[in-house]
Amino acid sequence: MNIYYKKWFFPLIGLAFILFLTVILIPFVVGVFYSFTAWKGTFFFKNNALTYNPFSAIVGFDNYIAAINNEKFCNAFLYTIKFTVIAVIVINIVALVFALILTKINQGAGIFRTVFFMPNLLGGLALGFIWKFIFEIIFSKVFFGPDGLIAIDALTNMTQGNFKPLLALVILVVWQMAGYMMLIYITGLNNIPTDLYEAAKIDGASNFQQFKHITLPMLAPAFTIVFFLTLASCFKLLDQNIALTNGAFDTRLLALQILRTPSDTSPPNYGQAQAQAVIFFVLIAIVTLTQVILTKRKEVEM
Amino acid sequence: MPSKNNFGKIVRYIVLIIMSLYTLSPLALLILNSFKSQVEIDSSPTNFPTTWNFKYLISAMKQINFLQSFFITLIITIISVTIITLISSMAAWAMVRCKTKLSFVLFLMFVSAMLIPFQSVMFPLIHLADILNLKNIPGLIIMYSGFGLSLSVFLYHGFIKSIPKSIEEAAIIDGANIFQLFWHILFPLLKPITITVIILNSMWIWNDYLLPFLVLGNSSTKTLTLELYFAKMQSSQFGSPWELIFPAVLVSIIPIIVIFLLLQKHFVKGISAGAIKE
Amino acid sequence: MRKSIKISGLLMLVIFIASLLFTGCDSSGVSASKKDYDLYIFSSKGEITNQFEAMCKAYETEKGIKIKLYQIGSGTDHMEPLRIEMNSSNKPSIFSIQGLRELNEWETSCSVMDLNTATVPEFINLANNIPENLKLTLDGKANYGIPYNIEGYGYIVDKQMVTELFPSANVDKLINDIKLSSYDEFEKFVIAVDNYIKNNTSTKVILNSNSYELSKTKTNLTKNLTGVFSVAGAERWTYSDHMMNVTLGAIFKNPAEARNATDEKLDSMKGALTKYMKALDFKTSHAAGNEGALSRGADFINTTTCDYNKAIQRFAQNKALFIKQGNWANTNIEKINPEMTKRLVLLPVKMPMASSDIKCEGMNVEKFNSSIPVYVPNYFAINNLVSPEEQKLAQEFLVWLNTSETGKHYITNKFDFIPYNADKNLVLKDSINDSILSYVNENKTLPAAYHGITETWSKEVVGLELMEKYMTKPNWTTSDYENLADFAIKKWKELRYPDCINH
Repeated sequence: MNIYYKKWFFPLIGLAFILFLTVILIPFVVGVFYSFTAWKGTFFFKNNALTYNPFSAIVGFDNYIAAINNEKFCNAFLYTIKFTVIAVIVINIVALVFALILTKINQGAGIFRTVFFMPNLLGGLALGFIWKFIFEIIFSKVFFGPDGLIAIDALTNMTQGNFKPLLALVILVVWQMAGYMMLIYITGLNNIPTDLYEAAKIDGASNFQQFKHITLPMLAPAFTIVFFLTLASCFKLLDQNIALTNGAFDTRLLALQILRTPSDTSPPNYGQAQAQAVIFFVLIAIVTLTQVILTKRKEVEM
Repeated sequence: MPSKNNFGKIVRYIVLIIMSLYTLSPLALLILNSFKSQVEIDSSPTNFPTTWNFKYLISAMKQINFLQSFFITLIITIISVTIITLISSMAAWAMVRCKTKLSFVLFLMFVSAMLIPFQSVMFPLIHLADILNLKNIPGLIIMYSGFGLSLSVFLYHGFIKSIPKSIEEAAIIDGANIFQLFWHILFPLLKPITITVIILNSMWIWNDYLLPFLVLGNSSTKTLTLELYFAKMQSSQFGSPWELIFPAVLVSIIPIIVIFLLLQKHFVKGISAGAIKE
Repeated sequence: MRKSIKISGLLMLVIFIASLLFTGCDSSGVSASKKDYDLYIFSSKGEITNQFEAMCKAYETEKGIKIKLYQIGSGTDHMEPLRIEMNSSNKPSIFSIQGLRELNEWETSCSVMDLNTATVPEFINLANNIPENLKLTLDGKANYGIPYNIEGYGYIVDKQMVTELFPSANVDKLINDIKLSSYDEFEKFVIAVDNYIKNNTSTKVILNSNSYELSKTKTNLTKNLTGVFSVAGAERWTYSDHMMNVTLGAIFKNPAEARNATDEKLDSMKGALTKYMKALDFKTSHAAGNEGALSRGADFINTTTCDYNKAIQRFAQNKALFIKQGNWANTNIEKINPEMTKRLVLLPVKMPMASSDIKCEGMNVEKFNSSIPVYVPNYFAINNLVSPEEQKLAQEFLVWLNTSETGKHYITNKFDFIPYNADKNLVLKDSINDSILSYVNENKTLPAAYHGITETWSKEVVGLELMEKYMTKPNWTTSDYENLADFAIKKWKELRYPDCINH
């Protein structure tokens, strides 16, 4: 049997491999190579000399050192970390809470599920425009501004300043993703055998104890996935960042920072942008791999 | 006891209803404001429009070449998703059934690419596409197929692992060739995860902005999201033309929402299935 | 595990070799794929997309040349698509350069053709006849672009409003006297009008040594006034690009001079910059709001209440006397108050300069306070890296656009542009354009010197500093003025274009 499959291994996987090679691997490797050159987008420029040959424009680790010293890059890095930490925690809590509520009601669960999932259908750019309008006009003028219903300064002018747009992004992202994550938690909750709860009740466990000792551990696999998905998406967030503030007031997330690095100098420094992109990749790889390993280990323990 | 239960139930329903209203409010806002003029949107954004004026929707649809771009986006999405589904399922199947070191390494390679942010490959990819004369719609489809592989291979791999070999082995003994094996035996069993793959990929391909922007740019044939972007860019130097943006956005998300509402059950089942079986 | 590593290694080698092959065969070795057009134009002037497209169709029918047109707005994202197109195998033959700031990139990569090396005789003529102060050049010798049009800005004012404020005056003479008045006279004028708006007090003002009296009553029009200036506080470019640029007109003759400025020359800017702050302080202290006066604070920089749209709206709804904008604002004003666009005139942006602050050759305080910046916002450049045939077609197109009857008709009547090569007697449809032309004819213009420093300096650094630290403060002190001046000079030295550091 194995021989049969082995015969067909290459044909089956061949097309996927070629596609993958052309679209992802080769550009990635070339990108890494370019990050070591003085790439300016349409040409290479080293020692005041114009060249189209990348090999004669190699500058070693210069781009990487420049990237680390680049104040905007470091700011974007910190900003992204702050945003991701807050967003991941909030999304998880909201998704879990609503999953818990939805599994406890009998009628209408389907409708609510549909409603909560809908935000996930919209694309980043369109979403960003709508929420920009909401923050700037609805929040600031109608609801929470000085002439609004209740004046809450923290919710006014949320696209200005440095910290407020962070909250605005969190609100946006929670609105968009919580529904999707909630579905995953619901599936996880539904997979917990009810006899575990019954046994616990017979043993006299309170609701809280049941939650802590049965629900949470059994949700560990779902938690891993939700954590992984939200971590990766928040870290890489781009469209919504562009639509909401376009990076004004130092509100660039990493993805936007990389996109805009070429336009920060003239001639555009694509070499440094590429170096930043490689650092970005390494960061994401470290963060998500660590997360998966840690949560998998917890899963096994539970 | 019953009164406590009822109280809990009522609280839950109230919370759910409030959250549903909150969740739907941006969409409601979108609908209301798609019928107003710029001045009216500015002055009374949360009110019902004074007249349900369809002219903004119509002019927005014209501005974004709705029929053409909708059709183009549809074709791109359908073809890309079909390619992704077929190729990733075949690849995942091969890697699961053939437990060699090579297949393990290849699997890791496919999956780890999920971590590669688009920025890292963006510039060289476009350059390569230009050399290979792929800066057009077929090229876009090829790129989408490539980018969609990682997640889809991952999902299929997890799912196929739980399918016993015995069915296939029986078919092989009965003399089935590889095509029949794949198409008639395996693929039907993959229905749940296939739905997930189709839904997830369709969603991000339909809404994607950056890749079409880099590949197609301002060509005469644009995707829906790209049309939206260019319509906004060209019609406002400063400030935001809300009276164009709102109807344009509304018109571009209606198709997805309609499809979603029709196929809700499948969506929800698909997403959940994909999540746990890993 | 060892086998996995071996396999991974082999795989990586394959990929690496494939990639090397790819980087080796770069764009230079690529043969251009079949082109389905004769002339490729990349234009980044967003206001005229439909009309530009119509014009290209007219050219196609007249000459039988197929044009491929890529248009995009002049906002943040226009460089990215342009770079991609310039990097592809089918490059645009004509592309837009928005002034000195963008020239650097294309000049370094030898992508832009020096028009002195052109081949078509009529084109050489056209390029040579561009007025010296409007040429796109780094050193004064090379010539890199044909202007789209000229734009200008200043304090836009509605003649009707002025007439009703000063009913007993001859409005044209009054406007001319405001133009020629000194800063002190202008300051007192603004204060008097502000008092009139707030307290209905009618006083006399002196402008250019002539006396005028404010109306004793308020008319339906003047009742709407809530302040003197309509300011778009949320848009940094109005004060850090445009208003700052007026100041730079006291120091530099043209953008190239600003670009090549020495440290000493930059230090000499301090006086002018301090006066800039004083003028900015004064202006933003007399701003018009929706219901009453607008003062500096959090609301002032809020995009909801104070963005470009709102500022234009306030002016078009007669809530302010002046708005500092240029002829591009005409289309926006027309949407709200079309009648007004027939009566608009531009006035100079005045600053309390002393003779010692003026460092520019040939400039003095009187000329400074009676001139408006007039410059070319966007140029047509020819790609140095396309085939000679395409370059020839590009030259012929530009000649047609700027000299043929059809081309000129499009420029003046369809795009509503002020042609850079306007005849002295040309009368334009929009009153603002006419007003700008009159300044050009009198030689009372300032350059766009701010193009000599990166956009980062004006918008992201100085503009941001102004917006976050100053526009939110109700009161500025003299040391505030000087601090900003020092800050601006220090940052200019840090953010200069790279090849100028060795001065």
